Amino acid sequence: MKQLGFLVHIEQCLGCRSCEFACKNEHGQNDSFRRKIHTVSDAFMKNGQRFHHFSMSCNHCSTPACLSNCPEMAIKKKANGIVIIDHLKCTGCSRCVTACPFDAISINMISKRADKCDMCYDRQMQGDSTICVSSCPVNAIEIIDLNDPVNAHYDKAVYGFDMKKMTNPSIRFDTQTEPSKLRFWSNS
Amino acid sequence: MLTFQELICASPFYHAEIIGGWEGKEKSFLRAEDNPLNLGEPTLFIVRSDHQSISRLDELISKQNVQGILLYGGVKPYIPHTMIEIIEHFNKPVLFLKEEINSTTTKKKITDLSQLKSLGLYHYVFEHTTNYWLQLIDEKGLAGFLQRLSLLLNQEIFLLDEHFYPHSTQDIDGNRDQFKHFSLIYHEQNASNKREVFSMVQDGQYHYFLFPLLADDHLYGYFLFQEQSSMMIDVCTEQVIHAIPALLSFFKKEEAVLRAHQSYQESFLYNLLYNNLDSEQVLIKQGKQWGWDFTKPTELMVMRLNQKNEAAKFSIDMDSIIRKVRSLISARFLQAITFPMQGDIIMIVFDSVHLLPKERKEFTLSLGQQIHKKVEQDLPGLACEIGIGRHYPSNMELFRSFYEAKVALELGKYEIRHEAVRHFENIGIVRLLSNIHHHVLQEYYEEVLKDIFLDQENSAVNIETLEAFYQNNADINQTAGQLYIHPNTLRKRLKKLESILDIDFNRLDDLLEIYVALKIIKMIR
Ligand code: SF4
Ligand code: SF4
Repeated sequence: MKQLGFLVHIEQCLGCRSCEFACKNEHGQNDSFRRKIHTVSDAFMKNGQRFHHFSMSCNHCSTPACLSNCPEMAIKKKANGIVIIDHLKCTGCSRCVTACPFDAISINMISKRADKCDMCYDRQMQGDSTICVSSCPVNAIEIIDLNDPVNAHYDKAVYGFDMKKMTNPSIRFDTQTEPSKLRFWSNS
Repeated sequence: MLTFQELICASPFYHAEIIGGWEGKEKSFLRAEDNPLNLGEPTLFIVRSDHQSISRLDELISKQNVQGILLYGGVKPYIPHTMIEIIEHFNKPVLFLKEEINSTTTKKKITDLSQLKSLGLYHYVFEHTTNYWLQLIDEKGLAGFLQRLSLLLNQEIFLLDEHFYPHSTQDIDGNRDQFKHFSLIYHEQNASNKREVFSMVQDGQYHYFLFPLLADDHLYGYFLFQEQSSMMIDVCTEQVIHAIPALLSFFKKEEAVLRAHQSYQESFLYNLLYNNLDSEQVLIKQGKQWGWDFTKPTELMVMRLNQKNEAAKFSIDMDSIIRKVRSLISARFLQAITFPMQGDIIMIVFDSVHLLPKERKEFTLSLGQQIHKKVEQDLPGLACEIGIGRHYPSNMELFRSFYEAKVALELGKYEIRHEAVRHFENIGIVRLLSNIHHHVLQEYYEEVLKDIFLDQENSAVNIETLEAFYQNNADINQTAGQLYIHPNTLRKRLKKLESILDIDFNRLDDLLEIYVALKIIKMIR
């Protein structure tokens, strides 16, 4: 059984928001983003003088809180670990919105249904990569199988960003980067 | 000179059916003949199978140089019982080959086989028998294969598993442990030499052939049969050696089927726990394939095992724990599905329709406690925790129970009284806290306890005091005992805390506020 998840190369993300906008275009949303950029201060310069950016959306958790809280049984987790919402079953009650500890779900104002990242399920089924991965100019996002032991060494959390672990989010952080690829902004 | 046992290893004779007289399988002949007037030397008599030839079998078999008879062509002959008795009496094999053969080419074939043998090249013939065994095991299965091999060797042959228990297809009289002692004898005799094709093992006055069934370093079991005084050892061993590859290929195929079956089962259970099944009908239908009746109510538990001593690293044998859990559950006459998932052990227990909700919860808790006790008793190095989800009227909602059982496991550890077996309904306020965002929770506890944190020097002691106070249900003496301080010292500390935090421990609101803040600290940290 697979558990697909996002691998974020922390030191590479520019915070340019290409992934956010590419996702918004791909999925035809007008007013909301499925993917959001977070900015945290560096572990070694805790005074906030150096920053990291990283992009996050639904984490396709191993124990998804949204799934078990949906009264309509509209949320399911596919065999590859992707958590998807069945829009035909969703009534837009918002329970999943409050249940998700990562703010990954919002109610689409036009369809009045819950909306979140589906890891470009259809694109992946056709053998294409997710739109966020393809659109990132510096390859800061990847899709990996977390059940593959070769990926076991990646970090489950990143300094400065408090993550709820209860749902076992399928996101990993790569904080190691060759010095040549290191990008940071300093105002000192 | 060719023996019948050798003949039956060659194509097309390996398809021949043995009608009788197989005790005489070691009898040998120089050539094949179809003319009764031409029997000057030891001969295999070949004759078309029809009424006339069958009625003459007794006369033919009694002829001095006829060592055996090969009937061929047409349908299987009906041979009266009296005739079989005569055949057995003469101890001369009578074979029937369904295939239509030409007597001239058959005579030539037998001459060629005799020549091959005299040149010491008969092993080429043996090598070709593997194809026959492969075909046979494909058509007749393991039972047909074993029956034929026993027949050819003219004695019982035992197929044992890797632990020297009879294979499940073998219908063995008596105790299934009866071969266990061969394990000891075999390993003693072969301590240094495990790679032999076969070994002779002695059990009392008898000698046995033991063939390990090995492929790619995987031991599938053993073949065992007794040595007989009249046995042509080289022919028998060649027969077995060339039958074994067919058996191994059968086992490998079986293993692949089992793996496919298991992965199908695994994905069914995954789909069940992640709301991925289309309808209740699909659930019931698919469950039936494995004998699970999803029309019955179920309870779900998740077991997590951790090593008590972090330093003493040893691998946890999940399979043996699962077997243990299965036997514990079945000892209570219950049906259950017990399987590993994501490092935990999931138990779905089918229970009675007649239980009331309260009884159902008590029943599951008591089963969980029993399992927990037994696992910790038998495996003292392991800490076992069990989370239990709520019961739902439809099994399609088992995914909710699964989530709740995991939440109970995860969050129950923040409870004041630590219970190793936790029901989701009993984990209290943390259940609500689990759905609130971390930064909101953090804001809350920092706000409530801010004045404690301002006093950095004493903040750790103050938090410890508060935690102990709540753990002991606000009992001054017990709290003081836990903290190894005098009750009056504790009273003074609590008074000071009341003034720092501007609260009153006699007011329920204040008590609750601090209680929640302490829980959040535990959760977040
Ligand atoms: S991140 Fe939120 S929406 Fe995504 S699977 Fe986890 S709980 Fe559900
Ligand atoms: S908004 Fe839709 S998906 Fe979310 S809980 Fe309600 S019905 Fe389920």
